[in-house]
Amino acid sequence: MSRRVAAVSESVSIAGVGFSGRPPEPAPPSDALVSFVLDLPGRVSSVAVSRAAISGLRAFLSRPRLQRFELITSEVVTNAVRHGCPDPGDLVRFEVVVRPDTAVASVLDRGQPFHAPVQRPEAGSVEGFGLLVTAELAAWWQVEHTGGGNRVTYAV
Amino acid sequence: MVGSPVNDALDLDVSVVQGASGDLVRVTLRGDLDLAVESDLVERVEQLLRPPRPRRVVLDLSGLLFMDSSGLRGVLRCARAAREAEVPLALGVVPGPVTLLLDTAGVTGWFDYE
Repeated sequence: MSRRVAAVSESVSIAGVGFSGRPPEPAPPSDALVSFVLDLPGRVSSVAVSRAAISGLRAFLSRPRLQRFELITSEVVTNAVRHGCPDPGDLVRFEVVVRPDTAVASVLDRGQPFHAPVQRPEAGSVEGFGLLVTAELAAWWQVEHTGGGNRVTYAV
Repeated sequence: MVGSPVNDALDLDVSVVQGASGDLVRVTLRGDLDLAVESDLVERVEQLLRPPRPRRVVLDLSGLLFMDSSGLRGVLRCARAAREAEVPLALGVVPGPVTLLLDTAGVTGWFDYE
């Protein structure tokens, strides 16, 4: 797993990668099939890196769930690198835990607190679909303001 | 046929069929369409819409492996540019990640299809 992610982008910092039966730092929840944490640079190429990390979970998730997880991840990480990295060098932390019955991810940024009214864009709009897609495809999702940024958590 | 990689993630092939009443332009996309390449797609299509304008443009999305709402914004911007140029634009799609996104975003009916 670590080799796969590192091969995608050498600039990605792997804060922790874990598999059940081989405790990593930080230790994953005891019932996790797999968990990992990535610190992603606040630039657009990090969106594809986050998707590549999700695609590596194909052994644990059905194809439809993996497809939803990948799409939501792309939406949330895109939002984080566009709006949540105000200073050069800001990182986006991407945390994933897969359990037998659910897959959960959190994306932490350093942006201004944002509120998330989910509205269906009017005909002719070109913007505003990211949160709608997230809300439609996630089993649940939430936005927390951490004091220094936002934490968006979602599950499939 | 003019093929060109936009970057490592997306290829655009542009084919032009010349006709007496104008050209038919087909833009075939392969790879991932997301924030990293959205503007490249729009710029390429805006170039193709310049006079002498084509009779019709097809954006063939059936070869895409992935598209998110940033990619959708790019496609919608292309469609808007085509409307402003009064050039009909149609999408080519097959069931998969693109149709999942179009259906989820509720925009399937916003486009014409080939």
